[in-house]
Amino acid sequence: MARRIGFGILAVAGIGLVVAGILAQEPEVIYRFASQI
Amino acid sequence: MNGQQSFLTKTRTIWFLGFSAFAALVSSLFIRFGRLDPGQILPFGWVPVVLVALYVALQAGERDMRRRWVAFAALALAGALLSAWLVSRQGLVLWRVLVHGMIPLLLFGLVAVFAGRRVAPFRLVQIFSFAALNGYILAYLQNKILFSGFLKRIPEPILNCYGGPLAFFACPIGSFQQMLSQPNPTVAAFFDRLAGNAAGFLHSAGKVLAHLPWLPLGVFVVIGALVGRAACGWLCPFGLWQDLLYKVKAGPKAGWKRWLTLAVIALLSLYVSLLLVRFLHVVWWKPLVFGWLPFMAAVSYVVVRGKMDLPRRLWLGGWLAGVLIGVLAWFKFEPSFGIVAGVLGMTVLGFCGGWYALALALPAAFFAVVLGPGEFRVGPLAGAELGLVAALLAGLFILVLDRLVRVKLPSTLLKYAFLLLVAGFVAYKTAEPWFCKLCPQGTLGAGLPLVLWDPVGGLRDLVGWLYYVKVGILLAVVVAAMAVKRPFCRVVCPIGAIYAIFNKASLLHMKLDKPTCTGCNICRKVCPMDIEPQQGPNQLECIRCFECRWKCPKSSLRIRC
Repeated sequence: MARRIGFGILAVAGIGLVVAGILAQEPEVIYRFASQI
Repeated sequence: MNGQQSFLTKTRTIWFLGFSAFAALVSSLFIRFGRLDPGQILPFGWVPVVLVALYVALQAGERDMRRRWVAFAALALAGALLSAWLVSRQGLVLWRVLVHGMIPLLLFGLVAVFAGRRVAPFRLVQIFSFAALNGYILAYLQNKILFSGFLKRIPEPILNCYGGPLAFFACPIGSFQQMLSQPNPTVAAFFDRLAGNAAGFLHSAGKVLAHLPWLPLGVFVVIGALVGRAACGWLCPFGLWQDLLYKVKAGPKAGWKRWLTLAVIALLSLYVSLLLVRFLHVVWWKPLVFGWLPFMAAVSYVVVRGKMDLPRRLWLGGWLAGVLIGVLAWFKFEPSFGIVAGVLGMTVLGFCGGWYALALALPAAFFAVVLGPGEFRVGPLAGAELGLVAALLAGLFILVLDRLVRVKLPSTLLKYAFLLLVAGFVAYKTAEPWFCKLCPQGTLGAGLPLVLWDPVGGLRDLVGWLYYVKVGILLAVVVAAMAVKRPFCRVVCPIGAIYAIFNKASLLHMKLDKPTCTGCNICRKVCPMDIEPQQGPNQLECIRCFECRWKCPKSSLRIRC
């Protein structure tokens, strides 16, 4: 049960970070770096 | 059953259908999001993968050699038909199709015929992941330097350089460093709007939060919470390279095969050295004397001596002396020298410890201060006096911590130094992705192919001293991977360091049934990370390949979700 609660907290935190990253236009920032040498 | 297996078993059918469906799904994603031409991705992506899947499925576990040869003939026929179609209908040059398609396919087939072993499930997924993440074959065929479609916006969950010409996705640790080094204007603007004219906490918080790599961190947390370090085992192409390098025959038990191995490695590495001589227009003997000879000396040592265990302990005194030498070189010369000296110093001296480290650290600390132009002054000290003080300090670290107190840490902790110091602090301070600059995966996937191939011209002119350092680090990792199981993953990889934290709490985990465990140690022998699952199956270094679970004769290890 403790593992599942831990997983739930981490999953919510992780998805929150991903959503925050998308809202902060991070995919475009990454693209700018990744598509040039 | 009368001893003869049915030709189309359930396992083979499941493998074939599963791989075909997966290949079709990934190809569709590439066509939709990568904006690739279906006429190109299908022959270069889906069809060859399905052919290989069919071949593997046909011969997997097959004991009858005739059946393996039948499967080989089917593969060769399919490859020949595909090659003919590519040349006649798609207008590709015949020699390119043969050299880069047909011949590797036949070689793979021959290896599989003679090896004839069961292929582990995680190995098949690793091979497929390698092809799926690095499948931009158009870069080579149409002289394009990089893939620049939609997928390059997405950080993949493992280490795979986005500077590689074949890479579809963005490397998360590269993105992580780039964002640490430069503030995200969207986040900064958001907090500025929120704070309005009032200067204070919100402005300061905005400045800090604008540097945080939200998306890469989110990917790490989601994947880590779900499967722990499984991405390292099942998806990472650099992990696959290391697993294959460890299969190199070495040691007295390998018999004559080790000499054959040595000859093949000598010829291959000589060929690459001569390519560098030709393309980089350097004096012919330099790559041979400074690259090929030391590399072959190290390979010969491994081939003669055999496989080894990774040193389990890291000496704190040696590690600190290495960091000190890096800091001295940073201020005396320039940050780039300091970073390279620090990275090499903390690795080499940390593993040596004791008298060997003392012999190396004393002159290194002295000359880091004394050599080179300009003067380095700390208070009243400068020149040789400061050099002596620096050498004394490095010596004291080693003598006190390594010899007197004997402080030893697990060697796997070194990867947290790479994560926090190199990919974190140094990237933030210098505004440059320094882990990427030294990363051996980047050299293998991007540095070497781009310089040797140079699709747009001018890349070879950019080669400087740092390039040779990168190649040297790659060669060191190659030799280490021949001798030790996955040395880079266990000691260096910052992504593995992050995922390892989640291993104890991830949803996917393993359980040991202690009463049925006989302590036969098979689980340790088959483990690609050289851990002992019977001591606890959810250790930080476990990459969830489940080889221990498949090979356990008593089924004492179980997968839990």
